[in-house]
Amino acid sequence: MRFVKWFSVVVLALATIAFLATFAIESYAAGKSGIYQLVEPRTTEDLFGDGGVGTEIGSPQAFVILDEKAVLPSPPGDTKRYLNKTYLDRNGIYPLQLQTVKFFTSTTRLASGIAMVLSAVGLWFAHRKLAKPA
Amino acid sequence: MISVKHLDKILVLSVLGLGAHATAAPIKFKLTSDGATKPIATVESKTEVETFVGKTSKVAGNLTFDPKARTGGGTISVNVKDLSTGVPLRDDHMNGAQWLDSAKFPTISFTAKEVKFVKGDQYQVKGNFTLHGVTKSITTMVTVKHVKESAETKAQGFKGDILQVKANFAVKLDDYGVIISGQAKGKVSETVNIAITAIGQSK
Repeated sequence: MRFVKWFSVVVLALATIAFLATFAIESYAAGKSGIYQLVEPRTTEDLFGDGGVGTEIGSPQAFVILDEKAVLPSPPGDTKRYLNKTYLDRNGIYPLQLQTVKFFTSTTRLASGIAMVLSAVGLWFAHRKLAKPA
Repeated sequence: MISVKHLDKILVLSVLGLGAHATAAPIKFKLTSDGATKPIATVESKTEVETFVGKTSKVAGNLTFDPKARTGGGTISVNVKDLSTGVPLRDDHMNGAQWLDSAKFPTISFTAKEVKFVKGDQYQVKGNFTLHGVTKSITTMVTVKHVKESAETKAQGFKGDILQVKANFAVKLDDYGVIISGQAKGKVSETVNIAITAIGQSK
């Protein structure tokens, strides 16, 4: 029963750390994120008068920016923010989306929450058994 | 650097039919992935985890465009195996028999059948879109920009007149026999957005 008690304590501690860490990670990622349009920058002159900075890849998404060099300066008067796909590819950086971070933090939060409840039950059970006279 | 004013002149001359090709037959353009052309075709899908894009720069095809009559046609195609999402395992799934089945249906293509001028550079194009071996008629708006051969186009490595074609449309996967089942059901959108930016050269 002592093993159950200590195991529950360790699981409860780890689950609590994981649970709290999800909020910190999500907050950090949100602070580093913004809506960006992924683009393959134009390497030639803008012969077609398209404007912008290159060919847009997909729709704008909330990307987590961990390397500021990947952000391209917007042309004057252009309110869009651009993320350089060529730079990301060349440096082996996968464009992380805030949606992905939120998916994993919410999944971890749910799992650690369940682990916290189960370990608390285990701790209570072990404590009760150990407290009873033989 | 080409000025916008200069570009307008090129486009206006082209539109008004005052250029060398004004009285000529429709111009033929070949889409290639080499040289100065930078074609990009993408397939965007929303999933529970992220919105991902499968992308290729290998776009092939032949187009015709008549700047005077403001009409044209042609076919654009991409190889499914060339689409890359940035995650090799996901590329394998996308190419697998459960999804786009590239071994059996290697290409995605669009053939323009009716081209109707709308305004500016905008055209309404009706054509046959083929995905996963299923061909369906779709109508989409396409931006077409024609630039006549010039010192600027030559300086950038283009041969002859150049034609830029941009299209963006959504397709429902189950219309094309791609059935999302098992673990992926409910986690992957049943509609994908397809975008193409291609540049053809007349020589």
